[in-house]
Amino acid sequence: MKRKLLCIMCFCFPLLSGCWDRVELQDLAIITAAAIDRMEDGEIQISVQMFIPRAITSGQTGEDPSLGSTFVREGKAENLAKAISMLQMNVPRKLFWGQCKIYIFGSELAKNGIRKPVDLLARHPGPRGNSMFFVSKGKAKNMLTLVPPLERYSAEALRKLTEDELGLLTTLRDVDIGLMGESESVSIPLIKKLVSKEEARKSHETIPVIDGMAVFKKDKMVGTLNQKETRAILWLKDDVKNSTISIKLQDVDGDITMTPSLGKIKFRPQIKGNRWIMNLNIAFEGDIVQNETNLNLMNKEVMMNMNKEFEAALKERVAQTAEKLQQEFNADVVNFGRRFHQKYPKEWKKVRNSWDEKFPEVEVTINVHAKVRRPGYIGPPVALPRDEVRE
Amino acid sequence: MLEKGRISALQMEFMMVPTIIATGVLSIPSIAGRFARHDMWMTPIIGSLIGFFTVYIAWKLHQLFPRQTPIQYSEQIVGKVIGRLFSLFLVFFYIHDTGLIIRQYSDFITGNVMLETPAVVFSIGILIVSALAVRGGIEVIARSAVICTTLFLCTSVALIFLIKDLDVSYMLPILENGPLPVIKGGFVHNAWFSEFFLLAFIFPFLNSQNKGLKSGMKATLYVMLLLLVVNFFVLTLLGVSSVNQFYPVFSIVRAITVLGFFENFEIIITASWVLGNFVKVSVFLYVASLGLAQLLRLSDYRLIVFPLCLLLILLSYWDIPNIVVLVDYMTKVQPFYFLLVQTVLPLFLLFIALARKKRSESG
Repeated sequence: MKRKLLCIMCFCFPLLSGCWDRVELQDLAIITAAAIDRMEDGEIQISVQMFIPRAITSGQTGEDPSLGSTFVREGKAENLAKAISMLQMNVPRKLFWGQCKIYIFGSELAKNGIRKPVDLLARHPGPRGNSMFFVSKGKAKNMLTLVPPLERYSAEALRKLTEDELGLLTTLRDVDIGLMGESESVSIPLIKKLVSKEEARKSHETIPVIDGMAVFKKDKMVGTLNQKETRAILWLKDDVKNSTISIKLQDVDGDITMTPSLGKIKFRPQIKGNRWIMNLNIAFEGDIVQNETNLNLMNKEVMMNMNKEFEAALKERVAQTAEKLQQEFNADVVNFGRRFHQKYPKEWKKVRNSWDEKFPEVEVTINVHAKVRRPGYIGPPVALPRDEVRE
Repeated sequence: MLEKGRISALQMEFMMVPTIIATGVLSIPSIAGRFARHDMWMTPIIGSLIGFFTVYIAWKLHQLFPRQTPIQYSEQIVGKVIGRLFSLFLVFFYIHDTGLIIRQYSDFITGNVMLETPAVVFSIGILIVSALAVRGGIEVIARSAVICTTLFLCTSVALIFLIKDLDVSYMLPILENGPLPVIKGGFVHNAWFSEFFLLAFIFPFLNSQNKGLKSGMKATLYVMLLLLVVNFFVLTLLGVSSVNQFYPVFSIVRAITVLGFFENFEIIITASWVLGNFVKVSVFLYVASLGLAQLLRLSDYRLIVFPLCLLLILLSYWDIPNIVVLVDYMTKVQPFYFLLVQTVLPLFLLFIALARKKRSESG
């Protein structure tokens, strides 16, 4: 019996040691973010930001903090797969993709189509379905070399930026679903280097920040939306946070601004004969955060009146952006196509192959229902003599 | 009697659930999804009909010939020559099927988790463990199944962390192209649900004979519900793009994050899935070796377990150059082939047996 047990144990040793895939931690180069660029000669360059584990653990060993805890290496070849193998030749340790959650595409690559590199990311077992995609203004590599003053590395800063604006976040999965779905379009957040004017800091000690959205039709970037339009898209994606809306009331100076705290949007597609109508019902509520006018917000009529103004303001904002998507880009990034498909499967079959032509013709009607819940901590305008306050 | 062990009805349920879903969850969602698209969540309901039917046939046959396996009673039903030919066919069917299971298992591990290790290492590993369990007899398999299945299903509960990411609107429009695509997708499940005929080999060893049908049906129901949940998660998380993937379930498992910082624990789930697969391979290997021993009238089935394992490793590579061929086989051949062997042929056996019984009663 004892000998049998010994035999079994000996047999277990070669099997339990982790086999061929055993990699020690000190042989791994942990990638935190990757940037993919298209060079002038059409070649693909991949740059990866890698951890220096020592820099994180040691803290104060006299190293220059402006160097950061990461470094960047790149590989260049005619396609991404070859570029990665070139990159591996420049890194003494084995590249480890498991922790890499951030992929940045340069704008040049985005304009020429992202399908080819994305295919590798979807096919390779390393990258995850929920890794985030970004498009950078200019070269993507420049986003990785920044050293953020607050976070440990720039990829971490980017991740935190998208953390509370989930509507902005676009993952590999979203891109796959979006580009193969009904609308064949997807939006990816656009980032740029934040130029800091602080004199004590060097120019690279800053972070990448989100500066709108890149709109993709098929797999090519057809245009970008600015910050304000991006907010409107977030309304359409039912995910608004950190937003403000300002209005001007008649015959008073100054703006009244609110922060919408709860937004809800309902899509009601409708087909009447040959007219395709998308009814958007937006309901939101919020608090006033700033009152530049001399109106007393404790007045019931003023409050009720404001609701209408906020409704009109939001309506205009959303309508403009929807128009831009329909007419200028012809890219259905807010999934109107899918909603028509779901409600009218039969009619959808007829336009499925010509949705490009139909989408600009869709009539968008917007109904907004606003509720101002609270005027904030104070009712009447602050620091204003009582007799100047208009009731 | 080659097997003296007795198991309870509950243990049988614990054995059967991973026996069907261990490889089923890997490939069913994408194969069924290719036919049914966004209606794929309902395909297990259609598919399970065959499961219930197969359990019923196996139970009816067992009632006519209590405490006997199909190898034993097929001779009594259709005569010595045809009966033994049928048994031979059935035993080789199960041997071949076990080879396929091992191939799916090792392909999955080498393709997703341990990319540089040769697949044969995993085939050998799981076969040695299973063979030891099989040599221990059905009681050992049943007891280890209780532990392994519990672990396997417990870690799978982690899927509920995905609920916040689900988009139920991917299920719409329901039945866009009529019921035919769903039926086609349900047909893919036949290969797995017809494997419930394995129960015919397990019924004889139940300690309480009258509970067999009920717990067999219960096991089928559990499998159906589990596949329903898995298909639902795959569809609502990945949308129709899931049909492009070979292992959509692994994709959704990788997507699990808890509160944004606890993530990347697909390995834990994969490890527990290996336990489930161990139960599957054990049950199949047990049936194959018991069947072969009964067919050859051996005095002990334990002798042939290890030699059979050697054969199984070869069979797992036989005529399957790559995963595309394997998936093609699972899509086009398996649903018909498995259904024929495990449901249609036993149905004929049942008819003949019933007819004979009636004639002998009247005559």
